[in-house]
Amino acid sequence: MEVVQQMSPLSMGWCINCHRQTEVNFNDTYYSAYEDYHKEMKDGDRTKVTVEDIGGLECQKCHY
Amino acid sequence: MKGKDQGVWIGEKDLTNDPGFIEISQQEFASMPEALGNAEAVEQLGGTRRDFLKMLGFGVGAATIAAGCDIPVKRAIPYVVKPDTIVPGVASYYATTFVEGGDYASVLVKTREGRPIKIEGNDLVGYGGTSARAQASVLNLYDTARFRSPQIGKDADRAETSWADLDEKAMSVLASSTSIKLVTSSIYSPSTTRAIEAFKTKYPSTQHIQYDSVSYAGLLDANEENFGMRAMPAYKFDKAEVVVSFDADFLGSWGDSTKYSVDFINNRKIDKVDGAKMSRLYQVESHMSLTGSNADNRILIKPSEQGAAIVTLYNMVTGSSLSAASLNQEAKTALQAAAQELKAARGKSIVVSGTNNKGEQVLVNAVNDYLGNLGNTVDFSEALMTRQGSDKEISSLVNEMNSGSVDTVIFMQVNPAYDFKSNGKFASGLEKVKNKLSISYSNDETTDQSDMVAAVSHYLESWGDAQPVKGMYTLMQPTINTIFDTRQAGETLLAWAGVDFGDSYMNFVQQGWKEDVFELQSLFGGFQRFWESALHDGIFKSGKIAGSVSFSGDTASAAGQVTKTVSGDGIELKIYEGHLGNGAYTNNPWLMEMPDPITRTVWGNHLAIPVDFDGVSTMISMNDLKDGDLVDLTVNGETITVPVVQQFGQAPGTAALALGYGREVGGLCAKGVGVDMNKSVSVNKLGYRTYSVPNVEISAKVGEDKEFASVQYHHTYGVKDTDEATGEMINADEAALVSFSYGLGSQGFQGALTDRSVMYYSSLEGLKDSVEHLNDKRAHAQHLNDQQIYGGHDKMYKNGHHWGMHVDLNSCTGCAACTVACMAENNVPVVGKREVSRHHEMTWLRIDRYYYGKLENPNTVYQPMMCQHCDNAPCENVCPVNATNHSSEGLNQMTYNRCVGTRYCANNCPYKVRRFNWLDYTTADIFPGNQPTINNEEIPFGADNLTRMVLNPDVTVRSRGVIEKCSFCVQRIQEGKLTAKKEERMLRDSDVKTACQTACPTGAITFGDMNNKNGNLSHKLENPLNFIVLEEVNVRSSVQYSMRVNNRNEKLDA
Amino acid sequence: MSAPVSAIREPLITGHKTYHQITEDLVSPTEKAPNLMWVIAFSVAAALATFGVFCIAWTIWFGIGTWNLNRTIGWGWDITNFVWWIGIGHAGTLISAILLLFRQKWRTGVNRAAEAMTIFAVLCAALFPGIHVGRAWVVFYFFPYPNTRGPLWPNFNSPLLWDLFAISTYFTVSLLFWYTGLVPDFATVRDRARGIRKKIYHFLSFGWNGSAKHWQRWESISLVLAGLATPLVLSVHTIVSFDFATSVIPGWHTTIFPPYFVAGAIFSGFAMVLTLMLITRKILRTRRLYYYRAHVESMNKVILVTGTIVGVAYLTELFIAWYSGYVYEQFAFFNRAAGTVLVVIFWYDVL
Repeated sequence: MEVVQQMSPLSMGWCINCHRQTEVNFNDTYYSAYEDYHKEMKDGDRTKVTVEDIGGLECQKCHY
Repeated sequence: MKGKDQGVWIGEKDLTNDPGFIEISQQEFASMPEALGNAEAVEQLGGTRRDFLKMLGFGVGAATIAAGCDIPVKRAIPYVVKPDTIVPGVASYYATTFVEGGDYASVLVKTREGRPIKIEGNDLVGYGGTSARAQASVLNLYDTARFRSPQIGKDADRAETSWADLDEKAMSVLASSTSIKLVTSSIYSPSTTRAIEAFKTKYPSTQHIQYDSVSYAGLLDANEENFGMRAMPAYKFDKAEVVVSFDADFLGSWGDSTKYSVDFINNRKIDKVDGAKMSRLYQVESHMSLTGSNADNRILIKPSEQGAAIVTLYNMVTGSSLSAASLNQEAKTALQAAAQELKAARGKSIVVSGTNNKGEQVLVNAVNDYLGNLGNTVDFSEALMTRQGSDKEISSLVNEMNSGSVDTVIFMQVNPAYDFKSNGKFASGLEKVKNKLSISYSNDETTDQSDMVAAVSHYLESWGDAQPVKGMYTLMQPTINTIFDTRQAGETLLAWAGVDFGDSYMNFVQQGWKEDVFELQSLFGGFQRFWESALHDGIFKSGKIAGSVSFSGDTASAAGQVTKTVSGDGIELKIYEGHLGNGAYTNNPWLMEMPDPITRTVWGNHLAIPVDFDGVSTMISMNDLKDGDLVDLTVNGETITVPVVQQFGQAPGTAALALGYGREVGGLCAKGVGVDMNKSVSVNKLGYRTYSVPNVEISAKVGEDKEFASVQYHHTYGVKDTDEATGEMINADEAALVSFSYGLGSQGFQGALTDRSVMYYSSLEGLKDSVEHLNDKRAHAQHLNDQQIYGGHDKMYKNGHHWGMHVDLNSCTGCAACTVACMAENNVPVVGKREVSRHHEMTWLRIDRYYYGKLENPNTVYQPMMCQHCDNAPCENVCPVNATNHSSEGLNQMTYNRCVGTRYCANNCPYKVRRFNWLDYTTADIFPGNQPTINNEEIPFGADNLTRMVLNPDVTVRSRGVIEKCSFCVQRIQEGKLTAKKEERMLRDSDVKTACQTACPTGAITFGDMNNKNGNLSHKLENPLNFIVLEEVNVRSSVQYSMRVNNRNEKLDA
Repeated sequence: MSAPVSAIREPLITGHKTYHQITEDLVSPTEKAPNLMWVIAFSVAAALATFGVFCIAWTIWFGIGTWNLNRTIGWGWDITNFVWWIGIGHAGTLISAILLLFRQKWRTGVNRAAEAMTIFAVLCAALFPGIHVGRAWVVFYFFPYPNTRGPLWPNFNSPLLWDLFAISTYFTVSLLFWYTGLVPDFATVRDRARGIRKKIYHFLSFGWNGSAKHWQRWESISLVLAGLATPLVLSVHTIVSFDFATSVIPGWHTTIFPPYFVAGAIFSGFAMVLTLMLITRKILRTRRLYYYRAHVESMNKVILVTGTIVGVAYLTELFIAWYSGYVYEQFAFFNRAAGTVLVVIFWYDVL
């Protein structure tokens, strides 16, 4: 029989931490609203946009 | 190992309860037992005393925890075969029609996992938005008081039965009847009409009587006589420059009030200063109705002066000299001005009346005809068919019942025992009827008397159609399978008529469309495609009726039939229809909890009495009564005890009380809530119901309503009256409220009420000056705000989205559809009268109502107030646990699961928009022992599984002890953003619309992304009339309001 | 040993008592069985406490809605009472700590009881924020402990959180100070006790042997703790006043609150200490010799001074409300003084 294991802690901190590291698909046209980030990427001041950068750590993005 | 109990097993041995297996399965560790006592063996095992203790301890601990904490098993059953249209988590929308008596609305119903949870407007009808009643209708579907199956018997003998049984008994009764009366409300559904025809074919002795719960018979009879059409015309308020309304609450509850609101407001929006234009509304009435509060000028008359007023206007407009009874001088002067303006706006004006007196309506028709409005602003080619009731027919029925000549009566979704009491004659007549059948939804006063009840389905479970406006056909389709064993009314009639329509009533509806409607269009060649398109849209417009009408009527005899002015000092009582209708909506807790837009009271009707200023420092009203005092009201010899409210703008010598309350039989909200005024509605000599009573008595205070529940105690924004001492016009309310600082020198007014930027208003003529004044105030406030020592976060907000809202105070009529929509969308609990009286109301969005101008005859403004999502929020930094903070998109976030409930944020909010769950209002706690009731019901409202079906699964249901507030519908924001991301495009305005925005028919609320320069919100934010409430407090609110402008004829105030 | 008499100073204790007599007077009541009066008083207190527990349970079961708040503030007796309890605790600390720093020897007659009052007052005070919240079972969210939520910390900008730190600090320091001061006394009782009592007092007295070394250390510790506790008297109630002063509500949002609260705290606290002391004097008759007029009079002087400060603060508030022309503030004060039936409570407080 298959034995099920919990591979990740599934705690809020685990979610938050991944948001700090994971990049968003910034090429999606939706993100053209983030003009400052686009400018920074072009100028070389920024290499990636993580979920945290678009507000992914904010409470009501998940808790509503 | 409790495998068997949970329907889970590991292997064959488990299933067969093999003893060996069981023994092994109950051991914590597989191969230990005997060895432990043997030290050598233990050493061989490699264990020591320490290890043993560790393992023992762990075992005991684990066993204790596993045995002690029994989490209840919750079953979540996924689809094995997923239905085509249902994706869990994704809503499906169905177009259908809301029909309740004469109220209709074309709606889109949002369903989740097969159940409807929210009503939206169907903008294919020409406008989006709905009324508060339509928004609340979804809760009625889950009414715990509804019939769950057909019933047989009365009172204690009433028992559930099957349809087969009921049909058999009913048909035998009908077959043996010699006189059958089918009583319904106005029927404007082609399919229902056909069903009734089929019924009449089977039972030729049937007479079909239509009547409306609030009567329009006078208007309909007049139109029939004058124009040959027993219908209401379409009133094109958007084309009218001048409107004179005699007691017609067309923005509130009269006629097709939602459409009238849309059209009327369309003619009054102001978004620029130069060249600003708007219509002018004169409302002639005694009590402050919703329409009256939105009017530019109110002409105060006593109810019995209505006839005189109409005749006077007729004379003034047409130049005739029909004899008129006496009318107060101010009204005469005002009507003179109105008549001038009407004559100057021929073809672009409307005169309308809500009276039920046929003579008065004939004269109104004559005036419209004279002014050339027919075919322009008063248009029968798009006649409104939703009111067709006849007072004469229902009165004859009552007489026939009393004479004993009626065998069988079928009441189909009407409640005359409540709304057509006819001075007790209905009740006495009903007793003499042999067979009483009811086709009804839940038990009410009439159904209570019936021997057989055919339980009816809700409109959300029904097929059907309607032709509410000539040339516009709408369809009704079920959004959920019938929850209980109920049938549509039409189905019942067809069953009793022995007509077979196949497996579904849809076939019957379709058949009618195939025969009558399909030919009216040419776009589709085949019926099936036409049907599917119409069903998808919900609406099919076949076009206006050709031809025109002309007026023919006898105005002289009409003038003889009008209401005669009652002389003397007696108090006249007006009985009016408020937001709760007349019985159909009483059992809806959302509508009960929605504050009355004018009086701001909930859960009951309150007697409105006039209020005045004594010239010094006190507001006075008749008999020295204050809000919440109980009085004995004697009407036609009967005395009832009612609470009062002081009503600004109530005509002196009059009082008013709403219909729709005081039900005796019904569900949750019926008993003990308000008083029933249908007892005082008499039928006059000519056979029409009369909604006013002269010479009533109002006693002095006899008590106090200890639970007087009002959500707004401060009513005015500076109403002016004369100061006795100086003879000057002063702010009377400031004198009354802020009197303590006087006597120390000058009586200077400190602008307590009017210096704060809560509300700005202007007249149309003074608009330029008002806007300059506004700009000055705003510049001053902004200068102060700029001195703040903390930098702002504007840079952050410009990146991505920055949510904001604009509320156009000029478009808000106060209908409160947004309030109910917010309750529906966000699972806002209902708390009941007692809790509201303790200041524990929970509605997130409130509509503050302020009077301003002259005290006896003020103007009104409605201000929807929700969380302003301040960028510099005073609530955010005082929460000790960080439960409320600001998002990078400008939202003030409320995190329910973090909130501990210290309520500091609610204390600190300058707008007072935060709501605390003082008790277990949502019944969301684990244990049921602490739930409050809202009206002494057995199972607390919302604690049962049926009512909970209305909850929106996208929004957390808050537990007690947690603060909640408007979230700008963040669940819709997230959904909209996700949709845009998945479709790989920019976010559009149509992606995110808040519930209040979509509910508002007039478009007063606009939500959007401030960073979207091409969006609707950015356009609204350029309005020169914009202001921020309490801007000087520097909270940097994200909601902007635009000034209220009225087009008051100030010459009449002199 | 003869009674200690000083040539230059008034005796701290009257009646020419020897050390043994003093010990006998003060310790023997703890060794005798309690008399009937004590049992009756204790039963009454226990009954009231049980009722209190029942009320708290009722509140936590049903919710804060049972308190009828939100007219128009969401706080009521819960927070005002909390402020009062913290306030009166300050008097105990003031007597122990500040009088020690000012070398007022007469403090020794009252300091133990006063400090005990402080401890229990702070405990009572801590109870109220705990039960006044909507969800008492998650009050631990206040505490900044490492967690798996991100980690998610409380909001250090919030005055309520400053309260948490202020009161827990105050409690800790007061407890230590009280305990330190009591160590020699526990030792005295230990030396006279037998059996299980001896074991308990032995544990409590921490090995005290009355030697000069121990006294010297004791004096230093007391001085340090007094030095720590003194600023707390000012700061703790200042922080408590910030609960109101940092809000935006008219009537609350005033800068006079910190000194006003502290003065009020001393005022009420000394009054409370006196209340307890005067009752104790009456019941334990020998006490009259240990707290005599001079003690009471000294305390009365403090009460007069702080009471006057509070009175001035009230007048200042009223004056500023009028002078500012800010109608909402004016209303807040006028309503309190002459608004509704509840003015009775206001005037009761004032007078």
